[in-house]
Amino acid sequence: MNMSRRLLIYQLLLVAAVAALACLLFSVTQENLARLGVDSNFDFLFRRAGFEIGQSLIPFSADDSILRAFVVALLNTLVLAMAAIVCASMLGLALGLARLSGNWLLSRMALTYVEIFRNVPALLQIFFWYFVVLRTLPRSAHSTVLWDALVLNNRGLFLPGPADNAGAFVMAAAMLLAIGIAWAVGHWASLRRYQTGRSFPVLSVTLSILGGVPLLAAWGTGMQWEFPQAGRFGYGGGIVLLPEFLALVCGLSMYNATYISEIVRSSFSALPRGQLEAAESLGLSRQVAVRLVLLPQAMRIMIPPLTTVYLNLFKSTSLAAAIAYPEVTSVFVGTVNNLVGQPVTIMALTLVIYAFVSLCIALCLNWYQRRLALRGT
Amino acid sequence: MRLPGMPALLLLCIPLAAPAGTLEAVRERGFLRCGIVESSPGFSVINDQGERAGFDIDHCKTLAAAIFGEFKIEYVPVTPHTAFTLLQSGGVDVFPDGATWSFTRDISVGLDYAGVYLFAGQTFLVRKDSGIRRVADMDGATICIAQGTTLEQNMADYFGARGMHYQALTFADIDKGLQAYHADRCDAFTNEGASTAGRIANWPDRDDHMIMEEVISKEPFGPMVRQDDPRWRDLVLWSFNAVIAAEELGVNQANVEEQRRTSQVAEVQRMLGVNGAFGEKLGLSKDWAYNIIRLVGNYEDQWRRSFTPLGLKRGLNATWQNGGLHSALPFR
Amino acid sequence: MRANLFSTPLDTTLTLFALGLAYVVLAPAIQWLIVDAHWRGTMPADCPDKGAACWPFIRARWDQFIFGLYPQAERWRILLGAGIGIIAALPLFMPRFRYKGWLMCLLFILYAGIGKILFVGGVFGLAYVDTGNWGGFFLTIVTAVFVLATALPLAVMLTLGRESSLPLLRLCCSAWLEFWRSVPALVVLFVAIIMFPLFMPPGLEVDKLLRALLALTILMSCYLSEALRGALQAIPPGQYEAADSLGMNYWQKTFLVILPQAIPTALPQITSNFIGLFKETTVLLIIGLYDLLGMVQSAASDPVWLSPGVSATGYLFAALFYWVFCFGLSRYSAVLERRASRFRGKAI
Repeated sequence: MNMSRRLLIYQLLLVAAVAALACLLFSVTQENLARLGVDSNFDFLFRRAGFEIGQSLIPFSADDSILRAFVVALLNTLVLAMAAIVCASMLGLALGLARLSGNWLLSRMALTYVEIFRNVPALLQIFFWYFVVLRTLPRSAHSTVLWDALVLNNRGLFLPGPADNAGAFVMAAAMLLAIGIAWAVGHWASLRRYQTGRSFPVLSVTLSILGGVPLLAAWGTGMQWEFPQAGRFGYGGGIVLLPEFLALVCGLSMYNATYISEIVRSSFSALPRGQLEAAESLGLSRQVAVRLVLLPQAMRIMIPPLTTVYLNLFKSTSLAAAIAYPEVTSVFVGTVNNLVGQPVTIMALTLVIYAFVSLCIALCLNWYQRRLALRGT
Repeated sequence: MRLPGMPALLLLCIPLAAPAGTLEAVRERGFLRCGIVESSPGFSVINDQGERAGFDIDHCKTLAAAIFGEFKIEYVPVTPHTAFTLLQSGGVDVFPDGATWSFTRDISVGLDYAGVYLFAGQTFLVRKDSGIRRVADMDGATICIAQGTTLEQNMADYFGARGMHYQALTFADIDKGLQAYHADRCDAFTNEGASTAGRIANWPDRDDHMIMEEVISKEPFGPMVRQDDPRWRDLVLWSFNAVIAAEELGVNQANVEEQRRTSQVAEVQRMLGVNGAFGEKLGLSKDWAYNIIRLVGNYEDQWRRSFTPLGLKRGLNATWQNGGLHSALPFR
Repeated sequence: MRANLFSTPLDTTLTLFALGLAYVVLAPAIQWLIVDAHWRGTMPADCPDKGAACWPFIRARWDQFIFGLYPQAERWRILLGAGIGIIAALPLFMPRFRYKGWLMCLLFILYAGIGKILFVGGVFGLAYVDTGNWGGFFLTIVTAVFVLATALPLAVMLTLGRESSLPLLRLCCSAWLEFWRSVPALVVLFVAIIMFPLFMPPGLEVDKLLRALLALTILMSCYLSEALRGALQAIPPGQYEAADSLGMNYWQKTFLVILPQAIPTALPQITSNFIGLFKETTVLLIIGLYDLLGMVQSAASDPVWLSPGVSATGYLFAALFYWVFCFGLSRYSAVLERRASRFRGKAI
């Protein structure tokens, strides 16, 4: 009793000390800011931005508010993180499977790749892609053109895209719809397999839904396509993937893929050998056994370490500030902070945004992990 | 919003030493903390002897010479990201480089300017074979730019007002922006003209590029100081003024000894501390300006050291007698 | 060999594919790196072909890559300091040496003083060298070692707080850990550089490098805490019970029984965190501190050298440097892991 009361007092003292420290910091900061005549409020968010952003998913001009600039930057961060996560996962899975393959040469090569790219800093890899590889791409006048639709030069990768905002909206809606349908089909297929044991070619059907529905929607609504056109200053029109974006996606995904491949390899090796033998003795082919027996079990082991890698990848999108990709750190800590001169509020906002998105990613993956978990055992 | 009443406990924690003036702080510390931008040819470079040199460095030296009579300086490398806030928060005493004196900067950020030491303007660097001759030719171009300056806004304003479009590629620092321009990532690079000229002077393919004559903005550069210390601002302002005045009065690094001994001009005598107590009024020694000229030289001396090798002409930065804008305030 | 590479059509295809890939990647790389490269000299003029690898660049800037802008005449101090550090830390890597914990504590205190005196100077007649002049590989190493040394004790405290039985303490510690683990290092560094002075009472100034180091320490302690936590959880409950039954109090139990077991278990994890930190130091260049990569980057944008071949060579050189260190450390970590598992195998 005496002991627990003493512990309680210790804790209260601790909380008091933390609170006192926070108060002290707060008051000193306030004093400093007042002395220096720096404002600390969020009014600046509604001021006219007065600068342009090189890439924006939603329309943005210098006349829009800083808040809108912030949304643009956040979307840029999310797109970058998403693209890098998808690429890193695919590359990581391929590398991990190559490591596990019985083919000596293949697994050695995958190992070499992993050992090389894991031990070189991500920022260096990004610089390499941006400042070295970018230079070897052709100039605009000598672009690599494929079927008049794909254009690659040192100003980026140009793809056909919807011609106007309405078209872009239709495409986005159709994409969401396609994802919904694909999910429903997957769900139905697994239900049917449980009930009847009949399998369904989920992968190919899902892919064709994801590709087909948006195309169908585009065709159905008579959407105008815009193809990359050579203009006075190089190509324009359609969808442009900026070199900064490409360099970041390459750098971040090639770096993080090494970690993912290790996760894939170790979680497959962690499965008891009996699993594969049992599946083979049931007459399943090796591919089917991997896909239906091993992968689902390996996934369960994979998710927690994968969460860490994905979070790290998301955090390292801030490295974009080193090259000119306009994401949260670059736009906020760079441009806006210098424009407005309110470091405290801007930094706080930046930190909170990163913490919030990290939290969302962690929650999503935790939810997925719980869904995968064995039930009733 | 301020805390209504601080607990007594917290009051105890705050060091009792009240913030003395910047000059006293510098004296006590024993050296000046000068914010500089790393590797900005003409302004701040590390020369072959491994020493810092350049126009900004001379500016730091001017102040140190005035205060200590020798170069007791800690150069604090800053990036555009950190420069203004570092100054606000007291990490540096003065920041001579790259800071355009504009209304918003002066009014809102808690900072002050102490004069104009360089009259510059924002202009564009383009490839000669790009067909761009005037700014009006650049509708739709991709333009590389560095963060942390007024350049971004100037360009948005200028293009916006003329209904022209451009794609901005905003780099964290000038060198990376130029590197990307050199790699043909953008059609033009925009910056203050003198600094661009300095940086590209040694490019092997310098002749394939040109800096446009047309200027889209005025960029008067001045040393930045904190707003809360007017006496420090006076000191910075008058130290620099001594550099300009010396040129107007014909005093330079080579002849300053002789001028101090022999000059019969009353203003020269006052400036160099032969007569009057001008230094003491600034909180400095009597021979503060003499030390500046002796150790760093007048404006022409500094220009010749830093910018002449890069092929830059005085232009707007000549003294008013020579058709420029620099005009010293009188030592009276 | 054949059984492995050409046993099935799929294997054959994969093998051929791998061989093709290797050829496509390696042949041009060797051509560029060795055959076409410029090897002799130390001047820009020694690399007439702007596209080819330019090793004279590395030779010309070698000193800067290693020492940054540290004054030439004072560089012996860095070498001396490094020598002392390596020799003093050597016993830590000897498996038989028994007093690792004590040595570490001693080093932590002593070396902080030695390092400060040697590297910063200003006392005992040593010239003062401003931290603004630190750079290159020296800065990278100083950062990595300083941050590891300061973060480890902090991580131990945070982990103990997080695993303690006091709910409020646990809450504070886990909130702190979770927050710092969810924000990018770069942004935290910006906060340290830009905002830290605003948190300080006027008159109190903290060196820019030190601010960055403190920021990295906070982050690193949170990452390390995760590693230690795993190790703490791996300790069998019997250990706690046994310590309790011997009548040990909390601190005795923690420092005499639990931590001496947990830290060796966590060592591989700590090493891999250290490797991560080593790579993470590159972000220092974004905030204007020139570590090895920053030095390479700024040297490559020197107009005298400006060319594609030079920047590629510079980046490759830096990559090689980082690679050697990180790979070496990861090998060491693997050795530790094997040793640890052998140890566990014996104990059970």
